[in-house]
Amino acid sequence: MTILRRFALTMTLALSVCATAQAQQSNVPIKTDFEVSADPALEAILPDSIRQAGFINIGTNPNTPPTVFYGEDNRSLEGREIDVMTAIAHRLGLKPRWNDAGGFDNIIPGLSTGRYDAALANLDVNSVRLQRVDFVGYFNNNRLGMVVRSDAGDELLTELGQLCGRTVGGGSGTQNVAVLEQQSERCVAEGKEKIDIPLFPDRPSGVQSVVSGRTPAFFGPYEGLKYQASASRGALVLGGEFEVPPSFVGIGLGKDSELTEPVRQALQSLIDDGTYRRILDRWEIGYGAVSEAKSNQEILDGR
Amino acid sequence: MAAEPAAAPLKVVRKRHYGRWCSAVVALAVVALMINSMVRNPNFEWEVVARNLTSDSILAGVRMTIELTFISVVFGFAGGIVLALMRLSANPVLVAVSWTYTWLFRAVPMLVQLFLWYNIAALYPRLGLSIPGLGELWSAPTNSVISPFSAAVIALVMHQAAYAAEIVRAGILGVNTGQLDAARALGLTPLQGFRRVVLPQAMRTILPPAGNEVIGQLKTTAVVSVIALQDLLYSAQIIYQRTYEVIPLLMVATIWYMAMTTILSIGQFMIERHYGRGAAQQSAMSWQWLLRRALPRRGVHR
Repeated sequence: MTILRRFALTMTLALSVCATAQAQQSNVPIKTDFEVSADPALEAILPDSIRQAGFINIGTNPNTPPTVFYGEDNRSLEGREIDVMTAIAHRLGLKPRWNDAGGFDNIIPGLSTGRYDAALANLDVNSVRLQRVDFVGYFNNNRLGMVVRSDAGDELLTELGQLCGRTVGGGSGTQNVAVLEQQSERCVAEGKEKIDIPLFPDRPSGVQSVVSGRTPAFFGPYEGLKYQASASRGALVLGGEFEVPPSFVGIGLGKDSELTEPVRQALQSLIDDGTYRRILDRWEIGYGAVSEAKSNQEILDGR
Repeated sequence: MAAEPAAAPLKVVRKRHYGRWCSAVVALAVVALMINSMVRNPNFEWEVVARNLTSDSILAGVRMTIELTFISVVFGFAGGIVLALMRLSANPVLVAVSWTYTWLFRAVPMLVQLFLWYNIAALYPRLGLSIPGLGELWSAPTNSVISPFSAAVIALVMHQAAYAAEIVRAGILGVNTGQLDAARALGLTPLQGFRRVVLPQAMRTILPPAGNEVIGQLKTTAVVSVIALQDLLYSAQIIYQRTYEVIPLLMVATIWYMAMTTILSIGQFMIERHYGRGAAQQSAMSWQWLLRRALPRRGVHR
């Protein structure tokens, strides 16, 4: 009997540990400076289940400052994705519930299974992905950057063609890597050396490999790498700044989700009342503002 | 007084295991239903699995995983044997060094170790060899000395050696000390005694946990993605990070890991059989024996 009781105690303890661990990942606190009012007209077009629940579950992968990251307290999420999506939720009269997905790998299955109603994790919109998820494009990633060691002594590069023959790391699966690969093919077509592209699973590991001189450069979104350089205590500088064709970052939703249209309209209403612009200016990324909120194939057609 | 008729020879009747047959049928039915539901469930997207299963990048990933596992297991266990012998030696310095090594490399997380070896140039930008009085004989940038692959191998071997040391030590401790005394009495040198008497017996205890460790190491190698090495799992992730086909690509990786684990398990079985010679219970271990044991018995029930 005592053994049984002890076993039961141990199990209860283990379960309560599970429960607390669970609670830490879901409904993560956030920090945002933008107050947004609800619009009853938009609340009316929400699916009933969501309107009655009064909240929306959002998944994210907070490891790309300043896009989405844990702030100084290491507990609260902040960044442009937090500001934009929280504003959209409030405009729809919903409470946002932010979840740390614990990595990119859980984001897409989370949308398919309905664990998350929406996901923001620096998701690039492309036609292959549109077969699996819905997107509302909210940012134009038309400016890319590159960090190098501050003692590399290179001039600031501004043309992708200058990368031929170099080794430039990138984040696996990102649109930035696709840009690099296309440029590498152009290099070869022009009779120059190809670009060597080591792929890193996330930005921190890629940036670290530049700090230690393992990889000469790491390539990605301009604002993120500018932030990394400024946070590197002098170890890194921005070694490249490239204007590239439009490429959109989106809010991911389940395939054919009833939320896609309300989210798109809420974003449009934030663009119209100037909130959207203020959020982008707060993060100094006004260059990537979209003029119109679009969803799915329209995002790609409008290039 | 008529003699009693001689008793007819007793007829041997086989024991009927009805319960066994019933439970076997039920279990097989459950397994069949599970397989059927997996195969017919469109959400697994088997056509995506089939398209990627033997694609070039996945095969390259399989090769990388096999290389890393093979190298780290071979060198890790070689190091582990040395560490175990040091730990069991009578020399207190060797014991302390071995203990400290095992403590340190079991304490530092694999991921941290990998990062440290890969980014070691952040700590030591150059490696050199200098002799007092002669000056520097040789020096080179650390990153050119330790390639990403070497960094992964060093970290995996160091980690594996610490765990292997404990497995080998357990095996040696499991052999009665009287065995070594007996070997000495027969005139064998301590080394001969160890090689011919202790080790063959220790191997029987070492092999099952060692097999476990090797299969664990096969999957531990997946941490190398953080240093941009494309092993099997990362090759699958690179594809689904672009296309979002998460579950089917994870299935691809799983199928390959299953295949590799199966091969390793068969290898373990054969090595165990080799070292099990002379142990009564295992002397008859063979494929036929395994099959016989798996199928319902014929003949007299033992």
